[in-house]
Amino acid sequence: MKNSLKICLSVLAIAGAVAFVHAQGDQTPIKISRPANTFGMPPIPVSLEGFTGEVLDALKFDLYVQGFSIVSAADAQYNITSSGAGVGGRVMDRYGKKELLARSYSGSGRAAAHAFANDIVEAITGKPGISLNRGSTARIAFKVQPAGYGPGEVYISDFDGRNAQAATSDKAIVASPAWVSGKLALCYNSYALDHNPYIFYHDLDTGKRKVIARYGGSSISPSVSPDGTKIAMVLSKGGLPNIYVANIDGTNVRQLTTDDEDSSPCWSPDSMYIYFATKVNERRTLARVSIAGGDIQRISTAGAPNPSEPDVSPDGKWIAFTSQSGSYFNICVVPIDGGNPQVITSGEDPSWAPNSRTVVFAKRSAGERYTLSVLDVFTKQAKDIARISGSDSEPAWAK
Amino acid sequence: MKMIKLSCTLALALVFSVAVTGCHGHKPKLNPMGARVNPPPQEPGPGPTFGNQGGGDQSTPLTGQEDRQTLAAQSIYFNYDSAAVKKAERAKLDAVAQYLSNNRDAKLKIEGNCDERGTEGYNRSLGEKRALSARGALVKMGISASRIVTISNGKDQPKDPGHAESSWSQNRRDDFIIIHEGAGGNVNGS
Repeated sequence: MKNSLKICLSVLAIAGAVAFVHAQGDQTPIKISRPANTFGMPPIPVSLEGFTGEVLDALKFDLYVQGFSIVSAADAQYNITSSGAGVGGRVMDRYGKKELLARSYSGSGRAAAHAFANDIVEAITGKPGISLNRGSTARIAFKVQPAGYGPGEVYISDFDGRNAQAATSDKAIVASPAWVSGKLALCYNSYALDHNPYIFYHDLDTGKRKVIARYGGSSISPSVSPDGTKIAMVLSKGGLPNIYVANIDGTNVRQLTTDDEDSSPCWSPDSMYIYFATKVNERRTLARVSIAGGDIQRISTAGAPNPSEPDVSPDGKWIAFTSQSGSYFNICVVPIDGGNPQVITSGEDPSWAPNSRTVVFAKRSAGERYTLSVLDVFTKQAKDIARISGSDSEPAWAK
Repeated sequence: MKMIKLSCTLALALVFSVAVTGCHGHKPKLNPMGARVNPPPQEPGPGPTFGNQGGGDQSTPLTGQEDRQTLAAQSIYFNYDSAAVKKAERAKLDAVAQYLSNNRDAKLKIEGNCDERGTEGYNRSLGEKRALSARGALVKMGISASRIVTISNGKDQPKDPGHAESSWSQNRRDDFIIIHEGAGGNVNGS
């Protein structure tokens, strides 16, 4: 009796994550509807048994940043056990008393562990995991400045910071790497030519790159539309830093805004709207504009002052952004049309993963240098990733 | 002269191909550093223009030899989170305008910079706004807009990399760089 009460209490505690629950000794299923993702929701408790080394490391990291907590087998709702040989194992739902997944993976080490983690997340939540992107370990791109400021390079790495490699070797100011959706290609801002900020398109498969925006004034802050056909950017050739849109090859450039000071454009999932930071009557705000033109619409983030660096979640429900108050910087999330922002954690420049709950962001550390961290916004669980050198910032999650 | 120009171009091409070539080897599938940078595409032509706040349109960038010394003392400084040219800085803008009046062939690049107390995305636009403010002021003083371009370095080029107001006040600035067009460019960062 005492035991079943204890289990009932545990069930209540983890109710947020449970779809169907059998109380011990009771064959009538208790239906608990899964609530929508909400802020401050408890993590889903899982156990990992029989895993070691880098496989264990990768599984822990991947599950933690997608809203799971790693607990003992007795406290877990799902037991994940190693098959012993190679990478793989099975996932048991302790309350549903059923096996959700049993699989082994070819290859070894981290890559196989990421593939396993991807399947674990899908088996438990019914939604795809973030560990893989088109069959390979998911990647991020970011900026590295060895001295902490000044010239730097664009790097790419796995989303846990492993397997980092430089994508450029220009020793020039570089900024705002942005993935071209569905391709191993980046757009970024580089000052490698003439000391001027131009926007480059860089195919990482072939190594070929070309300049796609090179105007008088700055050509900065590229962001590629989710359908891969267009680029949003900030140009100042018209007299102010404003939002422009062009085809992905840089042709057909059109000015969309005439505001005081626009920055950090990003896209709605349908590639129809551009969200950005601007100033209205000297006050910073988030706003959006249709790529067909027309007036800008302000997006309220009341309570989160000085918003900048917005990024729209791939499901179109949220905007993650940086709020600045003096020398404090917070990652905040607000509903897509504005409203009450949630402060998630201290940090800057969030970029969503495809699951619309995990983000990679930059965090100020000693000496105002940045390190990167991966965060689950709903449980607010975050893990730092290894620093390359100096300052690592402006991360972008490949989608 | 033609010979010099040609060798300049070759040197430039060489330096840049060196800059973008070279391989990090251990991951053959990804070959980020394979090829040279293609020439920029045809200029798509200027977009519509609105207002005249930054001194009006600037359709193409300036390229050429940079002289960062001559006007180094004329750098102007800004208040925190502001792109307004301060009254105390007007005399330095007058000196820049005077130089441009006396040197009719010289062109000017204004680089706007920020301190580290802002996000990277915000500061990249704020730096541009600071450069445009000075450009607008110089155009009002009668300097042709066609002689002045602007860029932003965001917070990437602090004059003083310290972490207190004494450093920050040096970093919220516009630098004035004279460009001698057609005299060869600079490829890599300074």
